[in-house]
Amino acid sequence: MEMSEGRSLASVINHVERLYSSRNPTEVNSLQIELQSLQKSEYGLELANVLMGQSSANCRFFGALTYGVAINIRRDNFSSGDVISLVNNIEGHIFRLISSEGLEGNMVVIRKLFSDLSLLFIFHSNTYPDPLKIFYDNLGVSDDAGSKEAWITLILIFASILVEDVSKQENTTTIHKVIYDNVFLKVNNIVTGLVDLNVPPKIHLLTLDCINSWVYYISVAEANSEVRYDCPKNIVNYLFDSLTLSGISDSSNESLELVNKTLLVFTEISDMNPRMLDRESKLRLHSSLLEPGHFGEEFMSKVVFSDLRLEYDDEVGNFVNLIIVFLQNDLLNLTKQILEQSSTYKIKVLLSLTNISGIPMIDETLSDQFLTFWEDFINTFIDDEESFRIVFESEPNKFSKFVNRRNEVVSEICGIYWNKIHLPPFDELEPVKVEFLQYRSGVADLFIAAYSLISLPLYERLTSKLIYDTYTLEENKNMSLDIESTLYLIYKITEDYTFYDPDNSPFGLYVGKIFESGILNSFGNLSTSDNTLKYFYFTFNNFLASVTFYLKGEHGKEFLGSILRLLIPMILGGSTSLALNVSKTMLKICQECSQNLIPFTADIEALLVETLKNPGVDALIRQRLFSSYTSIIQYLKNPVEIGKILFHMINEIYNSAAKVMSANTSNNEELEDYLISLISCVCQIARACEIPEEIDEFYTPEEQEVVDSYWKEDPSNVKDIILRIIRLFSIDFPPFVHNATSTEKCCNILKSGVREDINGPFKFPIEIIFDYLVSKVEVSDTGSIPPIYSLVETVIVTNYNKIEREVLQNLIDKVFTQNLEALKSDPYAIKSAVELFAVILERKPSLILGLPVFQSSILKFSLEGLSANENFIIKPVSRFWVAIISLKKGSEYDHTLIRDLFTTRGGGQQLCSNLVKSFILSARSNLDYYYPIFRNLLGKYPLESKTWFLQAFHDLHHEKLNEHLTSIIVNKIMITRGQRSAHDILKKIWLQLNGLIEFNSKNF
Amino acid sequence: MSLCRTRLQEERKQWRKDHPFGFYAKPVKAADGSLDLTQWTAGIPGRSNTLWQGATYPVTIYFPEEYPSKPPRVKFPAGFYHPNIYPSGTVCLSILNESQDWRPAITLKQIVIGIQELLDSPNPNSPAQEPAWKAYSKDKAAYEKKVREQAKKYANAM
Repeated sequence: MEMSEGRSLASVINHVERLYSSRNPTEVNSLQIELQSLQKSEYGLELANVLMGQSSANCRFFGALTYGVAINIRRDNFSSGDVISLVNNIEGHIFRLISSEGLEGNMVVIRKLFSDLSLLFIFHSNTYPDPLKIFYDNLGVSDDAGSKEAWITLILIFASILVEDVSKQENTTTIHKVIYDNVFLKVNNIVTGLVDLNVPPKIHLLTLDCINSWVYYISVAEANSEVRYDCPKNIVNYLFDSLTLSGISDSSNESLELVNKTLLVFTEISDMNPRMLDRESKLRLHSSLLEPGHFGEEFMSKVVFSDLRLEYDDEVGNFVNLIIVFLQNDLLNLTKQILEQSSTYKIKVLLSLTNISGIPMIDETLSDQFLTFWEDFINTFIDDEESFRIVFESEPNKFSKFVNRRNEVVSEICGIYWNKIHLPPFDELEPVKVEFLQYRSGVADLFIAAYSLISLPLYERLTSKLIYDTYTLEENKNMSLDIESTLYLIYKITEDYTFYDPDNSPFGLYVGKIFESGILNSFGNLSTSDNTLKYFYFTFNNFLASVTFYLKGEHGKEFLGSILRLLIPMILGGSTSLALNVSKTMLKICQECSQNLIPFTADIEALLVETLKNPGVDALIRQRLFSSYTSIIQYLKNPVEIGKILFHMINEIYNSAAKVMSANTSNNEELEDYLISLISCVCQIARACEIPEEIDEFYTPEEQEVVDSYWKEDPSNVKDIILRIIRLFSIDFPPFVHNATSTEKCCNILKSGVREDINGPFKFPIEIIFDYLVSKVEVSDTGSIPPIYSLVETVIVTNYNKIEREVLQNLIDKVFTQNLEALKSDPYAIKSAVELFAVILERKPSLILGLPVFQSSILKFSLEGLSANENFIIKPVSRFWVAIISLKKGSEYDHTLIRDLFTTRGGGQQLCSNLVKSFILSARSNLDYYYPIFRNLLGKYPLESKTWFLQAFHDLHHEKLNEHLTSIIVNKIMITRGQRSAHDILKKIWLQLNGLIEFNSKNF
Repeated sequence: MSLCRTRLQEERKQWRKDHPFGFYAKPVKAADGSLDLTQWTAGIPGRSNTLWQGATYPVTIYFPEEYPSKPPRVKFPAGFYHPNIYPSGTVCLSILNESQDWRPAITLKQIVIGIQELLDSPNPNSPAQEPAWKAYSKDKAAYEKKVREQAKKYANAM
């Protein structure tokens, strides 16, 4: 047989066989291309038919696939006769396959052929409206049709595939009616008939699969058409009949496959389309699952609460899942009826299932399945509180009983989960650590929700148990796990509450009782290196961080000393992760309870010295401790004492650094990390020295005066040591001269005091900062420019009224003019420089407008910046030009100067020409940055800008522009008068000149 | 009830029902104790086997009145180190940009997963801050070091 272009059938068969056997991807690819072209050719159907007649399974499968391709391509050209003949042809293949080799061996090909028939139905349902009936009729007359069992199997599979394929299609509104009127009827009849037939279990399993496909399909059909299936009674009854444990006894290991599948189908219905169950069916399902004497009770006694549970893990999980999904559909009713007798059994069942024996995530997952359910259950009481009040409006006594019962149930739920979150032995926990901790976090959310209902009695219950267990800790070290789980819940509830309302915590009384019970002493005796106690210490530490509201108060402060004495060994002796966690808590406690910690500075000092000298201590821990300590000493408020401590502290850091530096003249990573950590500690000290709130709330006017004059003189030489350490790290130590991180830290130290209202340890005169910068720039490379410029920017933003022009000129000469060529080579340096000039222009333009360097270099530099590719440069450049055009803070002299520059000295034209050229050449994503410059030019220079723009567009020499078009474009721009509409006009010009189209536009 | 509120209630319900492993998200409480659904606090865990692992990064999600027509704004703490996070902490991500890929059908779950993905896969075309961007494009080792240091700062409590 010749297929086309000289390809013989033999060669096609050979290609197909190679396609499924070759391991060479290139060959497979070329075979695919060739065979696909045949499938799509006019011979597609013929090829499919011929391949189906071959004995090779590969050829048959490819034949079935080819039918699908050919039908999809030629579907609009089929006549009614073609459709009927094709249906007969495909069905004939199915019958022959069954007759020659039976069902099992050919199921993959038969399924594909059913899909081909489904395609014909989808595209030609007028001609082929009842595929199941036609198939059934033809099956009856075929000689090859096989046994009755094979018939049912085929029809059930076809009925599944048909609706699965229809569900995948879009725009199928009309076909749903055809399915409802024809196909569904057949399926319904088959399912009904099966009840009386003595068919093997595998047919029932297939039927359940088929129903499952229909459950999904029905939700699709009802969402996309007016067809409504309501409750298909026969099918639902079939499902109820399948929900039986008739083959299973206590000791049986017989499969529960049928029951399992039925549970899954009921779950699918309850989840996807609960309307498929009418009221009567819902009541029946409810009885089956949750009333004594029915399936649920039997299933629980024979499977869930028996030795079979582990064997039937999936079945048990699906049973619970069905209960949850079913009840979640009507949670409001469940919560409303908790007083009724019928609910008592139901809630008991739910609680028993939740309280299944075993460790969560290791032995059981049911309690995890129930977590969200119970949280929703509790949240229904919270969210619908008003509805419950209305329900019981006329019966206040009943409402009170309702609330009591509600709290009783919620308490029981909490009790179960409280036990469940006890940490398992360390070795068992480690493999499922992530899952178990996530489970605990879910339990904590449940308790937080439960607290909203039960309130303080729940908290009291937890704290009382904690105190009781702590008393027994000395005799029984195993109690630490009980204590840990309780502490965990207390910490979570406290943290949640204080997150929302930190100043009005209602827990003070209970937290006080915990501390008064001697918990700190008891815990102090436990070893921090014991693996089993690892989590205990984390939880305890997190608990401490959550109760700072108490510790900063009158009652809490007495425990601070003991807490510090407990935490310090954890930092020095615990694992890095524990030490990190503890340092975070310590920082929080020190920041929030600083005033009360002054008596304990000696304890922390010793810790500081240890962490300073030991390069092995994690850098973040070291920084947090310096920050913690500084937060405390700031509350001494006495500048003499603070000065002494600060000098001592920074001097120690200086000496440690100098010692390391003198011993190591070259750099290595470890050394660099340690040194950077040291200068970061000074940064942390500087930050912690910032006055924490409004100055008048922190210092009295008299104190302000004392502090200001003390730091003006600085008799303790703190400023001197700060400048020395800054010099050491950024200028004197050669390996760090070009270290951008070190420079950044040094600049940040100087920056920290710039904004302060009165003199302080880190507030330096502007001249000193500028002197440092001049020295630093002389040894810097461009990598250090951004932090240097950022410091200048901060100084100018806060002190622009105090800065002399000459001082600034000297600085700009050094940091900008003398480095101009180097600056131009680094886009980040360009960005920083332009940003700085923009800031000066926005604050006090006269500071730079009159400088010779402004006209000689800065303007040119910023003009060039317009054509940058990097958006982080274009953004500040735009800010610069907008500032110079608008001159919002400019004097009359400044305005005259710039107007003269723009209008009589060609500056306006130059800017316009550069702007237009850069704008047209820029990337689409950068256009937004240019619009403000256009708008400000149009607004500020309405008369002159027309000439400038005409010339600018003319100078483009763009192939798409002539004089007439240029004039139209410029007129359009001018009409906007700098209003927002300019954006659209400019965007259109950009698109037009770049030959592009607008996204989301239909005009292409 | 406004469309914004209805949708946010649905988001809350869906989140409680099914949220990605290790994440948290909850609306903040308003001054009167009621929940303010337009402002959420959430935690994005760093993906395993990346520089970001072992920590959960806090974000605040602000939903405008026009939500879901307009996208929410997501903010990390100010100064958060990442090439696509602005110095203010605001996330620069196309699915959070009304004129780019935002669609009203995008869920809270998709947003937080998108941000988790962004953490380890910065978008080179949208730099939002200089330090991280510069290091990411010029000095990978320094970038990775900074990210690891930041991860320690937000290390998981256990």
